[in-house]
Amino acid sequence: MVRESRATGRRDPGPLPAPGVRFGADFRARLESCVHGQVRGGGREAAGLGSVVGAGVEVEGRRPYRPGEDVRTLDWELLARDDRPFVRTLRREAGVRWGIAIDTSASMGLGRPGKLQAAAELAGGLCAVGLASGVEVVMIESGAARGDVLRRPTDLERGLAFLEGLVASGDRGVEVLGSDPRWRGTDTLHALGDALPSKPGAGWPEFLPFARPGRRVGFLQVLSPEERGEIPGAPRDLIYVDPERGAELEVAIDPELLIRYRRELERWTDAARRALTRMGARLGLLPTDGRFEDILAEWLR
Amino acid sequence: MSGLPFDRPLGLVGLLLPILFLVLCRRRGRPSVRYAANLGIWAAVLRDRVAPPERHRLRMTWAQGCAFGGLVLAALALAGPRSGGAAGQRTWTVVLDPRASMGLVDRDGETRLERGIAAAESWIDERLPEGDPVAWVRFTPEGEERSEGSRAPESWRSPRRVHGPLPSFRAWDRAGVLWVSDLSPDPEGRGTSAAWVAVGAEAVPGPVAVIPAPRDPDSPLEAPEESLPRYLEWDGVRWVEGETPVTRGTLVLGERLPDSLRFIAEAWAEDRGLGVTAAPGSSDAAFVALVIEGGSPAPKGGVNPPDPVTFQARLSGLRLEGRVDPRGLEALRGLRSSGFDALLEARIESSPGASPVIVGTPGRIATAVLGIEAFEGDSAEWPVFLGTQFDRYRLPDPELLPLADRSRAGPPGQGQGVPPDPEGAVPPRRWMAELATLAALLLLAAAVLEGSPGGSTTPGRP
Repeated sequence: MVRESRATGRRDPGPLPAPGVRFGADFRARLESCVHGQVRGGGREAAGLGSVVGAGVEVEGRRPYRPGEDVRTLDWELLARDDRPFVRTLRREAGVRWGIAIDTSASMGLGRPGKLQAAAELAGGLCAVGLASGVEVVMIESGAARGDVLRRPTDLERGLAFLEGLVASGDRGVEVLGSDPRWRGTDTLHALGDALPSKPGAGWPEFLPFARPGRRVGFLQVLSPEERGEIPGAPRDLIYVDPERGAELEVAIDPELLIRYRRELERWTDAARRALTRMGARLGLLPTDGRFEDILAEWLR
Repeated sequence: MSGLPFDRPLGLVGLLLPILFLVLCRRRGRPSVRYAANLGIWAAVLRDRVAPPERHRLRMTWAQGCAFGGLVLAALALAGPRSGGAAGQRTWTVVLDPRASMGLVDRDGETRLERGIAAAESWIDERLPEGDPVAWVRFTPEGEERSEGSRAPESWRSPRRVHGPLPSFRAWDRAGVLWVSDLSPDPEGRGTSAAWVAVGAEAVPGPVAVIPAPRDPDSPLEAPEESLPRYLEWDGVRWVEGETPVTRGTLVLGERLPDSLRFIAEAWAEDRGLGVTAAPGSSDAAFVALVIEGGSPAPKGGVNPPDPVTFQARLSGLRLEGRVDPRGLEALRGLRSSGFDALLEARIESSPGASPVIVGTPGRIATAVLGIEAFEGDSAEWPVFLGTQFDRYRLPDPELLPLADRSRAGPPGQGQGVPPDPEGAVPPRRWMAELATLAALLLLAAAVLEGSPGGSTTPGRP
């Protein structure tokens, strides 16, 4: 059922539906709100970033505890000594560095909303939160391996411009960036893309280069609704064409087949999760029809 | 009803639209090509599938089905199908009764013919589909006369008397024909397929017969000058003897008529109370009852006329021999071919077979006889025969109508209101409105279904 069509050129689905990135007019306001919630919000200074900030965080000072704040930030020693609740305020140590790898292969130009758009929005959120937290951010896209380093909050606009310049094309997925030397010194590496293992149970060796001692790695898998098996409408026949390799597959869609597809997708993502876990990395889901703020909050928790 | 007739068969071309729609649906039903990044998962799913993949290309969604049905019905509505009535019937014919009674005037001052035409015209307006052609037919001495249009010609509204045998309604007894007659409902005592408008209404009083002038018992062959025939009139209840003498008709005799025949004709006219004249319109009489022509036609271009020939003929109890003019015989053959009856046929000298020597049609008699030279048998048979023919072909007094004609067509005061036969000329039912409504509903349903989730088959690009 899977056959190459590049040679014949018979199948031409036309241009990619969402090859570029365009931030909306309210995107920066949403980023600000996101930063406020993640970094400056009461009690979320450390907790929200704890799992992804990693090492290099030091206690900057203390202030009185306010009801509702995360009790994990309480200074228990001070409480025991003075019987007054104080929370610790943190400051990132110099040298804290995030890496953001963005898949710009042609398949990221699919989806409605577009997968590259969703990845760029989340990457923008990571930049904003990271820069506001004093984190240095390294961004690299997979297509031409272009990258940029953002060091101060004022670099955010440059980072957003970089993201808006992304174009989905070619067949270079995010895994080609695993051994890129620009990741050197990154404590945390966020990879955003739509890659999956070649088959369940075969591991995911393509991701191994990302893993380094002392580096936290997370892979956010971008999936459009259709890729999640949400295909509305009556049963019909479709011919799917891989935009990167030209392989095509004719599928007679019906509800029963969609159920089987969703189960199979779950099997593959479980395999990916297991493979990443073995590498000390973790897997997250980035649905293109979700709000990036919610996904970011979940990802940074 | 056989088949399904259409008012606008060209509208069936509209059926191409649903066919085109089907073709487009078929094209849309072809697999839609789109990009996907997860072919590996799909391949795994299909690899594990036991049953072969089902094809959906030929399936039609509810929305498409409704749209297709709506388009078909719309095209049919455009063609204007109809049912009922006669299949293929498009031309409606109104046949006017030519009998003299149609000229009778009722109390409103209208003739039956005028009232019947008005009723037929309103029937056309109310019952016939707009645009259906209508033909009017009336009868003339030469045959039928036709006129097209929803209105009868103005000149037809005045009664025109037709003499001779009445035309047969049987020839017009079919669906799509409307009779205008004062005979109702069936002038010939049969079931009818045609519709009819009865205009007889109440009986019209007037002369119904002639009372001969009293004869002098001592001299029965001569009528007293002061004793004239009078009408027997019907006053609506009973018969009464009219006060005024009957209208004197005129006998017109041709100038070249042989004296022997002229003598007999004049005697007959005197007995019947008719005036005699040599040219129509020269008499005081109100109408020409009969024209008798004959003798030798006038020579043409100075050519000498051919000699008369001998003829022999037989009447009951009489064999007669006489002379005829060969050119007159030729003229009679021409009249015969134009519908004149042969009143007397004879063997002509040196000619095979028999030829008419006297011909007639109502109101006119023509003969080629120049004279009778020998009788064998009762010679009185000859004037009796001629008188009988004169009586037979004279036109009746226009004032005189049998009581049956005066009192025809329903009880007094009924008027014209008998509806046309629904099995005959009732207009067929049109289905355009129903089909158009149904088509609109189906197309609306298609639009609703197309807009609802799951109703559309238009695949969107991911």
